Amino acid sequence: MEQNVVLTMKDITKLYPGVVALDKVSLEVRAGEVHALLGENGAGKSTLIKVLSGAVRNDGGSIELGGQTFQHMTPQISRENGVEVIYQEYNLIPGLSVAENVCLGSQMKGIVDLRQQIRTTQAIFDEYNIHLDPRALVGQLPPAKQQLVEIAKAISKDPKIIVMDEPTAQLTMAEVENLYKIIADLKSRNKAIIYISHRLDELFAVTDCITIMRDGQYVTTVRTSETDRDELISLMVGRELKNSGPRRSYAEDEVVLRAENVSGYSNTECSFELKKGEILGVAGLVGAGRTELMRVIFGADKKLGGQVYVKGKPVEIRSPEQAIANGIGLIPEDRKMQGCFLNQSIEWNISMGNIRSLTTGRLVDEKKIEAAGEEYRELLNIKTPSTKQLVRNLSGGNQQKVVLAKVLLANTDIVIFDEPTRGIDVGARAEIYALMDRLVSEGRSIIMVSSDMEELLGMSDRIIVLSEGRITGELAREEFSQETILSMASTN
Amino acid sequence: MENSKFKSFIKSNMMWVILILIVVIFAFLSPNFRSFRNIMNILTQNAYFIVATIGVAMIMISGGTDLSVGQILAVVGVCIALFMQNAGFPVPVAVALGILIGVVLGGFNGAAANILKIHPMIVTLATMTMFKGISYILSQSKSFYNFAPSYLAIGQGRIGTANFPVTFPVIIAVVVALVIHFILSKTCFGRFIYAVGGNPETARLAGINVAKIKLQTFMLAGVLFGISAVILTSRGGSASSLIGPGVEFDAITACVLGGVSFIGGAGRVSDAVVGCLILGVLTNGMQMIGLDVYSQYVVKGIILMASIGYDTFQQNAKVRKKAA
Repeated sequence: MEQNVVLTMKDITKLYPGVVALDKVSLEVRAGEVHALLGENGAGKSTLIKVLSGAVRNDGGSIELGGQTFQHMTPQISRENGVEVIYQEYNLIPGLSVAENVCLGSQMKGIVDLRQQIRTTQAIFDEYNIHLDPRALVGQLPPAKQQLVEIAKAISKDPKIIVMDEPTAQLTMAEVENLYKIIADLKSRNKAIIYISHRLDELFAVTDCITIMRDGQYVTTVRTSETDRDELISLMVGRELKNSGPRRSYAEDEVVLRAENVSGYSNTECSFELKKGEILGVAGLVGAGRTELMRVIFGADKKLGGQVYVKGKPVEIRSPEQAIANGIGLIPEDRKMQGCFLNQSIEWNISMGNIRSLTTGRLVDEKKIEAAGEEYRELLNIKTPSTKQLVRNLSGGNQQKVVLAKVLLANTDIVIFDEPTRGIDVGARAEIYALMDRLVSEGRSIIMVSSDMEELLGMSDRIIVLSEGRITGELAREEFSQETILSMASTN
Repeated sequence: MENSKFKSFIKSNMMWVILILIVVIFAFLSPNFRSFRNIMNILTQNAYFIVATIGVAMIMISGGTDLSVGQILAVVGVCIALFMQNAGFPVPVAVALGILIGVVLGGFNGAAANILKIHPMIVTLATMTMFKGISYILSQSKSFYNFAPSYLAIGQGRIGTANFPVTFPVIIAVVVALVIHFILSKTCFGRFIYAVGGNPETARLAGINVAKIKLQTFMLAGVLFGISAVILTSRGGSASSLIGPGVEFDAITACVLGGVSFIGGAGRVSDAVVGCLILGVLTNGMQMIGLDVYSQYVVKGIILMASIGYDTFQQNAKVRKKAA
């Protein structure tokens, strides 16, 4: 408690028509401390951050920052007082170089001196051990490197407080380690960091204290060293989530899907089997070709070799249309870009999974669409006042449920889940797991690509591991261990 | 609840309110404007334009756009004239073949966009020039007149009394609007058009054959372009390579004005129709009150900017409210 308090948010209230987004929320952040904000989707974390950054105007409460007290922030005041926010969606200009992006906003007058910018950027990179070419074009960098650019951009403003919103969402395990190092460096330079994440293990790895929010209200703040997972979850959810232990397996002997030496642009000769009622986990580092392999099998990307068998029969799948006709469904990795029609309603989205089943005399039947929407809203507990609501307005977890509903409507025997719970809160996560359990208990089969170790170990009946486009290992339930998976995932 | 329903109805039909306002203002300013005959005249003059614009709207909903419409109208018009006058085909055969050519040209646009995987805007920018060449090669820069009376009847015929005539072009436009509205809202194909325009990748992964839907949309729009060309040339009694071109930008303007999304996935037939009517009423009304052509352009531009600006402002206000 010896450090200085750099930010005090007191009784922050924010009202939206019909909703209290923030109800007298308070937050105290100290220099040299990593302070986590934890809560389910819709708990109000993002709104609180937006109040701090001046993007949203609070209706009540005050903010003490840099020795001054403000009733409201504006983006400019926030900046001037040393607050930098790194959002989940990066704010970079793809057509500019790394250095130009880093220096964007700090040098807004006169003639741009590119060499100076490169020097400034390189200095920051050196200080924080970032290995990146300041001359590289941002648009050509992978997400992890883009994030480093964002961080460097924030550092270049010499902030007192850096907010990171879900910083690890797009990172591989190795990259996460790297991020931890940078955070430690920032801490040692006495910066305060507000860290938002859904992944509990991360909070234990990097944070000093955790503020928990629920339904727009402040719950409590705990020291990370004095708490554990179960306590956090129950504080966050407001109810006890029972730890069910190992799940029951429904796997039978019948093989429903068999891939034989399947190759694609990112995969070479992958062979595996999926049994009826089984959840087959697919592990690997980002870039190992897991998603790509699934897309090849689903007909979304071109298959360059090999053969796929469904229930013992060889099938030729050249498009998702044919995959679905052969009883294979896919819940894609990127829900916004590949899973949803954001500007359409919930029921409209769901209906697209199999509109032909919702017709009367070949014409689209609005009543059937509405009924299907209602059915899945109840089944998956989609939180919305109406299924006419636009999917754009839903939280990530609820959007994911809509995508699930859409794929389920096609009623395929095999469902491929690609990162089913990425960026989704604990409550919705449990519901999605329960749904997967239900599907396999009904005799359907699931392939689950996941980067979440807990999820892989907890849900899978069997795990295959990919590395550099090849299958490098297979583990039965008894052999599951994080270490084995990681070592297989980094095999060349 | 009743009140908010009414509000949302008005909001989603704002352009109709604006149209009515414009009509009321002109009716007030000019006695000639408010006659039934003049109103029917506006509708008749714009019937071909409405039909073509509905075609463009479908393509825009599917995520594309079509800059070659005007040239397609010219090619179809010239072909029908040639079929009737040089080949001596009977009128119905010439009309059917003309519409078929519309389908072929539309299909060419769609196929090219699919095969080359380039945005339809670029494809039709190229085919616009191509079709222009084709229409001049076919017409040899000549105009065609003296069509058979049965052909002229399509564009000039009417039913109803002398005081309250309802013209064939208006009837055709109404039928086309109803049919396309039905297709878009009631058939699976119609839903797929929205899906493909809203998010092609999501649509593809949901098992929709995106390329097929796009091609079919372009072909169906081609049917409308063919019908539009028939109305245009039969009403005017002439066809040439100059009759048609220019419509493309008006059609896109009408769509955007009416509220058809430029990026795809949203829009209704009624949006396209109201956009056309606002443009048509403005032109006619300003003539009636004696505004010169150049002032008309200025006023049209201002109204366009104001109505689209208002719409965007509304959208942004919604987003600001939602930002949480």
